Amino acid sequence: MKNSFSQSMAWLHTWAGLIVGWLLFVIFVGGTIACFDAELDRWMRPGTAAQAPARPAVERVIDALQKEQGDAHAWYVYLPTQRFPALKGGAYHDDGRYEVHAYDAATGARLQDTAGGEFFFTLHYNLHAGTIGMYLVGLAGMMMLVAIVTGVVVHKRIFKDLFLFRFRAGGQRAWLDGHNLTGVLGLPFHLMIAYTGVAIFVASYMPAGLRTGYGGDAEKFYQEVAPSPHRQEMHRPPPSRAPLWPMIEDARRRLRADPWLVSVEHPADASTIVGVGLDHSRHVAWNWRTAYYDGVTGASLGESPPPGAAYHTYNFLGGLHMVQFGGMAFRWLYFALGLSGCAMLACGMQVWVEKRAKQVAAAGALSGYGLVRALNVGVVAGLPFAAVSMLWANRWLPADVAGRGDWEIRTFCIAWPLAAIWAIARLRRGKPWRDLFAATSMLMIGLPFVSMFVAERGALPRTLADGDWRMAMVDSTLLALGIGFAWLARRAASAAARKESETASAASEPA
Amino acid sequence: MNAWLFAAGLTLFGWAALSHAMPRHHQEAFGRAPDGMRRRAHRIAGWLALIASFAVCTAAMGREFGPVMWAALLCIGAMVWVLCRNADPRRARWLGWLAPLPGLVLLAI
Amino acid sequence: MPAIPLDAKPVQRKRRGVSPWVAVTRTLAALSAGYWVAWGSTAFLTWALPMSRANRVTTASLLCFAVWTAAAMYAFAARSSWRAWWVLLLIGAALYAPALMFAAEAMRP
Repeated sequence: MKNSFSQSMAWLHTWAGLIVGWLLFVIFVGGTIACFDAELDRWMRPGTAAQAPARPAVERVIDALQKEQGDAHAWYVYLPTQRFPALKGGAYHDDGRYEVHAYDAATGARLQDTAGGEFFFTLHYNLHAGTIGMYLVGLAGMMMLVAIVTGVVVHKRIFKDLFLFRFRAGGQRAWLDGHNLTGVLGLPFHLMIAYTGVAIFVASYMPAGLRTGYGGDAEKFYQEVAPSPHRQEMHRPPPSRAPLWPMIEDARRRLRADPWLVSVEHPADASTIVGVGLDHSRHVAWNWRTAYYDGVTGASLGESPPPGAAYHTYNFLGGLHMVQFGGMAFRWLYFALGLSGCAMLACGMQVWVEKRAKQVAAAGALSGYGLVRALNVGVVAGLPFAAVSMLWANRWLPADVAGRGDWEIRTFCIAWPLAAIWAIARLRRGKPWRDLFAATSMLMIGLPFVSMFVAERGALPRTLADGDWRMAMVDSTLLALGIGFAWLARRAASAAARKESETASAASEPA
Repeated sequence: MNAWLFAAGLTLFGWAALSHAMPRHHQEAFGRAPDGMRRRAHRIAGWLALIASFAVCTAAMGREFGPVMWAALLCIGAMVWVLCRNADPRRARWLGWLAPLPGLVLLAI
Repeated sequence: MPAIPLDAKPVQRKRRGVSPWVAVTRTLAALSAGYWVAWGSTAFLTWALPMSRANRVTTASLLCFAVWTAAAMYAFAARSSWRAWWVLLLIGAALYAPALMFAAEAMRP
């Protein structure tokens, strides 16, 4: 049975990997960029002050929320942190909408809107497609689990070939070694990321536990797992609103840590409750410890209890995935490992094409092979191009244009299909991989220079002079990635040239 | 910061040693096949270095962050080692041997 | 070319590549019957584990992905496509049955 088991698993690895590879690539790119979502959020608002005062203007944010989103289901105020030294105020509406804006921490003045790093985070977990997107991402994640386990099972020489990378061999050998290198050496990370990723939305992906244990009563489950004070709505507006800052200070004493997230439940009702919670940087596991207060009187309503063992495990798995813990070092390591995951996916799909090179060359554009080649170039070369185009839009759009964030997203949504369609059209005659990688490289390298003219406060000369290395880091990373894409463009050019000469010599041989 | 630089260096040293314990890679790096004793020595040095890296991470960052840092360094360290080793097997030996030094020096000061 | 019988011996099947019918049916088995096994295991553990209710549900649910992965792999490793279906359906049912029969006990706090 052994032979056929390996062959079945090899077949499964190939097809599970291919079918979901493009989707996973989008998810991986979104997630890798989202490692620095807060830093990107700040970079995309270049007017943000580098330091927040010890006493940020939370009341101004509450006033703005009251005026603009007074009928929301809940308000959320995010206090300034090192990663994002400004205030954020958002509201969650009953129709599922979530609207958030940033405010200067000292004055409470509204900062320019942007799709922000949040855009890539949302792209990552639901492809900006709501509930259906979330389920699609879950399916992709579970297929990734299958691809990982089958990949290990069929890799017979996994230990012997651990350090092998025949880079100069070119062609299928190099691609396969690249896929094995990033796949095997990054295996602990990829397995962890895939499993924790699907585990985060387990309540949506596997409702069997809820059905069996609670008869489907999700509210009861959430209350047992993470109890919080609940009050019936009184159906009348609050007579007054207790000031937030004393609550924040009280929470700081109770929880013995600096608060980060302030939530206001049912702000338009007299039953409103304020919750003051912490950020997730101190522990690997997500930290949901919250101090609760009556929104009208400011009286304390107690604290959340410590999580049970299983809930703590869930928080640990989720926290491991989202790397909000520790400092920059962890985010950088996840970023690098995320890039290796993107490389693993891209190399894997390229292996599929190379292994069938003869059939691919013989097939027409309107075939399964043609579709794979088109998706490969459209997704792997097109997505980075679209992402950096969006950042260019962020720099060029005037600060006061309405719906600024939407325009940035529109740029992304137009740049990607445009680049993809152009690349697919050039597949037969041109060198679309080289061209798209080169264009991406130029956009990435150009961006820090453009910033010097249109966003002087956030550009490299200023940030380096001020010692604002977090902001400088984004521009520096763009430069480094730009150089990386230039290298990819060169490789793509020489690979395409090699293929051209191969087909030319094959054609000139007597049939 | 310096602790994890040291741990990263130990990881690189460990992977280098483990790869040199393999006849094929030893041949590429040293120009000759290893005998049994050399293989065992490389393997033991490699494992010890990786374990030491775990100890340094955990000592510096605690039992919660330390193992996560170590696991990440293992993955990245292995990738870096393979890329360097493939670029130049002979010179890469020095990278492997000297990798723990910068971190160690910074820790000592 | 004769159609490949569904319960063809493995060696025979592999030499000719995988027919689309086999691919489709095994994929459907992995997705639906595999999910059914994961469903059953989650329900079973929610009933069987010796913990408080919230802990049981959480633990059982978190483990379901490992179960599904194994079931999906079995759907393709099974000796025939029929086996893939009925073995998975049977296992899922066997796991789900106690949770249904002892539903009240499964909901104990």
